[in-house]
Amino acid sequence: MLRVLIANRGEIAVRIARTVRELGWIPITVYEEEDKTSPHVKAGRQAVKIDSYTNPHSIIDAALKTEADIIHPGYGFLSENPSFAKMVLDHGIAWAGPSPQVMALLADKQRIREIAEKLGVPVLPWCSSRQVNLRSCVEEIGYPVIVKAVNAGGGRGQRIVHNPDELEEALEMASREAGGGEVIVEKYINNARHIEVQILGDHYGDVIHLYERECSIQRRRQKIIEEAPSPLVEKMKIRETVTGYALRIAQATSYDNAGTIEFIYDPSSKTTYILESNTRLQVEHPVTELVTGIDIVKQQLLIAVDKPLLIRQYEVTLRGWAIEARIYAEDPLNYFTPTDGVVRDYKLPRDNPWIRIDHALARGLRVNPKYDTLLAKVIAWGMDRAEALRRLELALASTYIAGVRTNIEALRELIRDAVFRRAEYTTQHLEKTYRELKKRIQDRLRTLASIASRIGARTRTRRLLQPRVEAWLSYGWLAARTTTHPVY
Amino acid sequence: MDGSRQEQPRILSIKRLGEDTYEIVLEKPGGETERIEVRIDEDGFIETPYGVYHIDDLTALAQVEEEAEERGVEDWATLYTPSTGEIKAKISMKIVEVYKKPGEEVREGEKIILFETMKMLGEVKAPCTGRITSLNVTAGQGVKPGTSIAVLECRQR
Repeated sequence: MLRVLIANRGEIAVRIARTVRELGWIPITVYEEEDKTSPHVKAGRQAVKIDSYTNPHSIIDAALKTEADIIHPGYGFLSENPSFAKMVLDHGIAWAGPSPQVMALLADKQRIREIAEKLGVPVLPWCSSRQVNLRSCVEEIGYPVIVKAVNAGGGRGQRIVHNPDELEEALEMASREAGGGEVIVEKYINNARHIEVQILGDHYGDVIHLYERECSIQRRRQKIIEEAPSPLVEKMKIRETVTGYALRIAQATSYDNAGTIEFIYDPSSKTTYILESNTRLQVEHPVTELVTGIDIVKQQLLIAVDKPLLIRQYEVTLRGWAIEARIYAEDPLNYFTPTDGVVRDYKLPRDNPWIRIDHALARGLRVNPKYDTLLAKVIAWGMDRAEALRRLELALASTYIAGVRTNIEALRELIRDAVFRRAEYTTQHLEKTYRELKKRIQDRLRTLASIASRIGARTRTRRLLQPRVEAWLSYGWLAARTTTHPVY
Repeated sequence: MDGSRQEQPRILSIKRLGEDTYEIVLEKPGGETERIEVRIDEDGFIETPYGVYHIDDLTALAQVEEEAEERGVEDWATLYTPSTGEIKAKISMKIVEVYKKPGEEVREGEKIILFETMKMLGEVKAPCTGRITSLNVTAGQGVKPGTSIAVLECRQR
C-alpha cells in the first residue's frame, strides 16, 4: 500500500486521487488555509495543510510527515520545476514526472531546438534576448512574429507583432513582464493548428506515444476545447510524421514518465514545426485516455516506482473520438476575463456512459481568482467525431454552474459553430469570431432574462416555501425549526 | 454592450402548461414567431431549448441589463461612459505607470495609464480626443472593479 501525496488542488487532485485508490494505494491531499473548503481536500484519505502550493519545502514537509512514497505534482504549480523534482527524489520520495535532468533539458529552448534540428524535426525561426539583438533578428525572420516573456508562461505575456511600429511597444511590454528576464521572438504562423503528441517513457529506456490531440480552439492563447484524434492529422494524413517527430525527440532526450510534445502546423507551407514540450500531465489528458483506454495517471505512478512499461506501441490503438470542453469561471461577454463568486448550486448532465466529467465543484464553493479558475471539464466519447460532438453538445446543454459567471454559454455556441463542426478551425478562430459570438450570447441571454423575470416571481415563492412545507409534514413544526436550509 | 435592443426577440405570450412548464411565444426580429418550452425545477434550474440556466442568474442579469442602458466605449479592462466622461476599471488591476497629468490634452488612442493584471500588462487609452479633467489613481495603486480611473472631457467623437 503506497502512499501518494498529491501536490495540487481542484479537479486534477480529485482525478489523481481516483486512480491512486484504484491502484489500492492511499491518496493524501494538501491545501492552503484559504482553500480548505475545496472539494479536493476530502478526496484523499488524509489532508495536510501547507503554506502554499508553490512552496517546495512545505510540500516536502507534508510528504515526510505523512510518510508519502510518491509525490504527484499534477499540472501548474511546481509540476515543471526540476529543482523541486530533485528535492523530492533527494528525500527518497518517488516523483510522478520526468527526471529533473529531462525536465531541465526540455525547458531549455535553445538545446531542444538544436536537438530537433539534428533529428530533422522542423523548428520555427526564433531568437532570444540572451543571445542577440531582437530588433535585427526580427528583420531576418520577417513579420509577423510573436514576442514572449519567457517566465510569464501559460499563454500570458505573448504579443503578435505585424510591423516595425508595433515591435518597440511589444518588446518593452514583454521585457517588463519578464522582469528583466529572457524575452524571445519567434516567427508567427497565421491560421495555425495546434497539434500535440502524448508520450510515455519508463526508467528502462522504453518510449511509446499515445497518438495526438488537437487543441486549436483557444482564448487568450489558452486552450478551451481539445480533441483526440486530430481532425487535421486525419485529413492531411500526417500522423506518422508528427508521432515520429515526437518519438525521436523523446528517445533523443531519454524521456521518462508522461509528457507532451507540442507542434504548430502551418497550412500555407504544410509544415509541422515543434513548438515546445510539457514535462507533466496536461489538463486535456482525458481525451487521450478515452480514445486509447490508457489511464495516463496510472502509468505515471507505476513508472515513478520503477515499473517497466507493460504496453507495447502496437498495442496502443485509437478507438473512436473524444472531445473535451473546459468550463472556466470567466466572462464570455468580456473577453473571457476571469470572474469570481460563490457556486450557489450546479447541475451536471444526466448519467451517460459516454460522458466523463472531471470537476471539483461543491455548493457554496468560493471561486478564488488567485487560483486557475477551471471549474470542470466535460469530455464526450463517440464512435466518430459527429457522435462525440452531439454527445458533448447535449452534455453542455444540461450542465450549468449557478452563482458564478462561466464560459459555458460560449462553449455551447462554439460546439454548434459550423466551422468547428467541419473541423476547419484554427488557433485564431475564437479571436476572429469573438464579436459575433458575443452578440449571439448577449441576444440569447437577454431573451432568457426577460422570460425569467416574467415567470420568476411565482417560482421563487414556490422554491422558498416547498422545502419548509415538506419538513413540516415529515418532522413536525419543531423539527422544521431546527432544519437548516441553504442560505444564499 | 454593442447589440441594439430593437434586434431582440419580443415575448408575445407566456402560458403555463403544467406544474413547472411554460410555453413562450417569441417574435424574432424578422417577424417570424418561435414557440419554446421551458421547465423550472425545484432548485431554480431552468431547462430551455438552448440549455440549462439558473433563474436567479437570469433575473440578476435582467436587472444589470436595465441599469446598463447607456453603454460607452469598452474594452476588456475598462469602460468609458460618455455622459460622465468617466473611465472605470472593469477588473482588478495594479497601476504601473501614469503617463499623463490632469489638464493635459490627449488624442484618441493615446496611452494614459499602464496597468498590470494576472501577470499581464495592459494600457488604458484615451477613448476620444480631449482633455483629462482628473486622474484618480497613482502608480503602485491597486484598483478594484468599478473604480473610477480618470475623467475625460471629449472634444469630438
